[in-house]
Amino acid sequence: MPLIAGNLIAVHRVSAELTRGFIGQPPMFGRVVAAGATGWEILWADGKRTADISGAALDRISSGGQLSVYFGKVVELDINSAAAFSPSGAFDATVCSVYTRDQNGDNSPTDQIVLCKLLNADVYIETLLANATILDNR
Amino acid sequence: MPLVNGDIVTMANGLDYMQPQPPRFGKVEDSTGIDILWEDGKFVQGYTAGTAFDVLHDVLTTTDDLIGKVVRVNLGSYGESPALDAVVISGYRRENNGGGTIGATRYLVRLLSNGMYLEVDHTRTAFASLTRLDNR
Repeated sequence: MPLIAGNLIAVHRVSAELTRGFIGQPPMFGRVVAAGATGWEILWADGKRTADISGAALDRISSGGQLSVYFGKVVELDINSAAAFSPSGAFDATVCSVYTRDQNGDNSPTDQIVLCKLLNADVYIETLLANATILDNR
Repeated sequence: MPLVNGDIVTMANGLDYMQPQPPRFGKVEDSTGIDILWEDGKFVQGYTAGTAFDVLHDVLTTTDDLIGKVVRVNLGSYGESPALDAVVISGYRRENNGGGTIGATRYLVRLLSNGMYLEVDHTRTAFASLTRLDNR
């Protein structure tokens, strides 16, 4: 089902060439206000309003089923594709949210994403929930 | 191939010097315009030159993926300093204007000492390459 008014959205942050989307900034969330002639009108979380944004540039954000498990926990992130280079403790992070991203609201994604903030750097990382391991007692 | 709809772009050239902010990324909404939806929700239409932008590509190899590691930034003949220890938060290759020449892998690091951002070409030897620190 494509986007509809009221959907929570964020900018689609991967492309055919850049598939992992490690950007280091938190996503800006917004609400779909209404459909326009050539795209969607969006009210962003900071109050900015934009019109005529195509659905392909937007992801519908929905709460992930594991939110209650991971929210607020400290996790170890294993996102590195080279196993021998396993990320360090400097990449441990607090889980801010768990959600799914659905480009243009067209699909029913099953992959849950964790939005994390690193503990020792003011950096945000989005990655698959499967890459996050909750650290006991933290 | 010039910019196409859906490309992830950022301002051309990299952070060759420490910067207080990370690079801002955007998505090409209309490549003929050129219209870009920036990561913060700003929508700017009618840029006149695609050469102002680099299209971002994934890192080339999975054997050199430093994302998540603590690294030391080497300064060539000037040595290195623990003050330049950093955590790697992103990696990509740049292609100006989607023009076909894709550069070497560049890593976006955040310095642990002062929070500044730096983009480092890992393969470069003259100035600013990275050394992975064991056990960190």
